[in-house]
Amino acid sequence: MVKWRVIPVETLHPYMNVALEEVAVESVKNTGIPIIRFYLWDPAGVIIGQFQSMHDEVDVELCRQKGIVPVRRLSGGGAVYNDQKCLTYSVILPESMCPGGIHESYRVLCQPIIDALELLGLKGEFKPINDVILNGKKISGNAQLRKNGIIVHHGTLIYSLDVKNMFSVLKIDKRKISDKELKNVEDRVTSLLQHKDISLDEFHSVLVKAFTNGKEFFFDKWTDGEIARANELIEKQYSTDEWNFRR
Amino acid sequence: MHGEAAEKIVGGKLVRIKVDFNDSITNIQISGDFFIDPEECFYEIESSLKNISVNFQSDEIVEKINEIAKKHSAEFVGISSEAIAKTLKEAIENGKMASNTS
Repeated sequence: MVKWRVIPVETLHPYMNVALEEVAVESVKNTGIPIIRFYLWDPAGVIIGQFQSMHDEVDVELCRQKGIVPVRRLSGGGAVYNDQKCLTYSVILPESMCPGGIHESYRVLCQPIIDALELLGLKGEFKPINDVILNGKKISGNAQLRKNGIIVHHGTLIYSLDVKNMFSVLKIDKRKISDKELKNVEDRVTSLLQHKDISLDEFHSVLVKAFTNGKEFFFDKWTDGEIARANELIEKQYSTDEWNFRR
Repeated sequence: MHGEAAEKIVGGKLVRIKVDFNDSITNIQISGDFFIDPEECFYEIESSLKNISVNFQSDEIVEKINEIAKKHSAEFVGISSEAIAKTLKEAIENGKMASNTS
């Protein structure tokens, strides 16, 4: 049975968090050992999808004023606001471990989120393409990347929601919600704290339990070599305007 | 001339196209919250639409995109070749209208 490498929650700079995703892809490619990682964001960041336009999606000037870091990630999908209370997870595994195509893999890899909610007595539902909803509102958004035979599935189960900051820095296109018949973008999203009184530490424990259920695993941390590689990627790519403002 | 258009694919994602053109497309940027794997496929599609005539037939564009996707064994989520062709046509029409009214 494959033994999973689990990296417990760590609070990192947005550049480091996105760079470690690429490092994790390289690690899984080299070792064949799949990784599950959990992480928070400090300072807060606005993380846009690979194919998004930074200026179309993000109020960059307001980000600068508020100390929020805008950064482009490797995966597609939409822009998200993440901060110290946005517990984010990534599952990085060989494609051979998750057959069945993209749509099926979203369903399979979102299941731990539904399981985590169930452990808390809440009934989440998978909503294709890449969301988990609770009482009709989005509580988890997910994105995937496939690179060199490796899948990166990452997302957030929203713990608490800083709606003011989130929607002030994101330029949400009204057409995006037109078919959801919602008048207000804030009506689309909910957070765990709105349903359950739970500390961030307890929430982390529940997530670890849900993600590792039925798996053999070991807790680990990044090696010095991996951190050095992440720093190299930050310098060459993730901190540069050439990458972040490429479109 | 410069034109822009955005298309929300029902149940899918938003595709936005910005285009500079005269008789042919001189510059194009496709953006949005869709997924295309591998990423190289997306960039090849985008660059393949440069220098094409603005009077293109949508079917030709769809075919061109599908060929590139096939070459890369690409998977599209929340975007389609038809949506790209349609949004590109709209962007050009919007650019022409803006030019006529300015």
